[in-house]
Amino acid sequence: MSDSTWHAVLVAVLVTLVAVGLLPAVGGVYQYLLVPVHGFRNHLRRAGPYLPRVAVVVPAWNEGAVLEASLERLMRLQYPPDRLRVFVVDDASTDDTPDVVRAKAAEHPGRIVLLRREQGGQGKAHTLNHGIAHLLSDDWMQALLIMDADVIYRPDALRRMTRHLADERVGAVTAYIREGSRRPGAIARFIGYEYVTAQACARRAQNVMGAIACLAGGAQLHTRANLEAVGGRIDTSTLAEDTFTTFLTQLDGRSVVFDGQAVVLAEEPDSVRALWKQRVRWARGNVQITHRFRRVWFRPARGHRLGAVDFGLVWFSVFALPFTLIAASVGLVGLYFAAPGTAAAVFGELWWFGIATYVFITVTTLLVDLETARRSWFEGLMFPGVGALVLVVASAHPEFWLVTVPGLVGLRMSATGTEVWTLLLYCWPVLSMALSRVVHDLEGVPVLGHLSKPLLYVVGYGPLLCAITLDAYVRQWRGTAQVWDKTEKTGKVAA
Amino acid sequence: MTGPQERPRSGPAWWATLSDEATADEIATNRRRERFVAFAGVAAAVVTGLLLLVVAVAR
Repeated sequence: MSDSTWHAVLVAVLVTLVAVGLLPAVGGVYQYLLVPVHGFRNHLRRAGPYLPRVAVVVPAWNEGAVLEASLERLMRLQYPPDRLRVFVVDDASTDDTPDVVRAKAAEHPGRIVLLRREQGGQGKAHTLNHGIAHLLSDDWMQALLIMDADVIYRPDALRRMTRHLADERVGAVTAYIREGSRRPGAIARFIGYEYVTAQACARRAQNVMGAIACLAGGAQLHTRANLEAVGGRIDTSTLAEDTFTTFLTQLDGRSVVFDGQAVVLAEEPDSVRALWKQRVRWARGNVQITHRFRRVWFRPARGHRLGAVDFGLVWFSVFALPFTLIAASVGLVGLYFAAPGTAAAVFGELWWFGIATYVFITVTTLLVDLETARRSWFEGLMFPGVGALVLVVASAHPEFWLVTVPGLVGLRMSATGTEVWTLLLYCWPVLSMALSRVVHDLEGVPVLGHLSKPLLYVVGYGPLLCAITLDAYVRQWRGTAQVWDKTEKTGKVAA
Repeated sequence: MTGPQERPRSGPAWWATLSDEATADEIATNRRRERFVAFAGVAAAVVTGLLLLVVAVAR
């Protein structure tokens, strides 16, 4: 092949890499286009009055600080008291967890039960299985609610979940976990917004698709029949036991429903380090799920929708996000050196895509949960980071940063400055992930630690999640030991 | 008319009675409320379209 042919092939490959970088946004927009459909196509039309006998399993390891409020709120649920029993499975806690539970059990005889594991530390799934084995030993339980020790159920939440079980085709129901700290810091506010996108919006879209990616770990309600059909126990081989059960339920032909009006409040990490630890575990769990169910993806089947093309697109849009960001940067920087004109043309032509994706997703998210929007609207706007917003503006108005802004202070950008600026923009998707690690490392460092939060707003919460996900993939690939790291909670949910 | 001692036949207090009628009413109300997400999506699409138009004209 001639040099010009090689050059054309190289340019085509680089343009393709840029296009690959857009795929997650396409998946995101697709999900968001389904959100309004949920207004008219949802499972509420098949819901009905149904109040089964519900056993609540609460796995607890050193949860003394948060359990009292959670149990008290469970006792105040608007649900028939004779049809609700709570079983706290104490995973060999070393704090006052057993004492707190015993005190509550004395206040509510027969309604709160303490189950203690003398040898713990094996993780949440093992703890849950201890409780589930106990519950399946008699036939009192008609439905099982699995929750976390620190979440707070709104009084109407449980009955808004059980109503879907009136439809016998439903195997499990999940609720909307909302960040509910009394005084949320920056990270908790970002998480609050993230949960609107990842749950209130994405799960509604998945309801419309007919396939749910994950029952929230803190709010999953199973019918007894479903629990028995998936083996009467929770899988212990992955770090994503809730997703595993969600998949098994659907593969077995029962549907899973998300009810966005059944609200559960949770305290989420308020530091980058705690978030990093939690999300590495989640992302490694997703790698395991992706591998374990590898014969499901993109293989439409009767009886479930997990193999549907649209669900696969959505799943892999999230799964591949760090790689697609790298692909976009490599493509743009490669084009800058191989064919500068093409690089500028591709970058400039995408202006509408960046704006449309950002505005459509942000406005929808803020409107879907106005309560969270009041607390987290700024974090919503800053979700992609100041850097990414600069990038979008540069795409729409290339002269803005190169001529207009320097002109305001009487300066003129030199040719070298223009080159550096352009490369900086093209590198930003990768650079933002690298800087996310700096945000993590700076946190807690004397004096310099104050820069961590402002830098987070520059980098963006989205790129931070991508960096964490990439770290998780590397750890998984290297076979780093799986550790069940508990996220520290302090009981600051607004009860 | 609802008397002062009578429970209202709609709203959270009525739904909390957990009677079949109350639960069915809550479901119907939630179904209507769910239509808000349709409004949210349409409103977001309109805002997006308008902004794209403004930027396209200004370019």
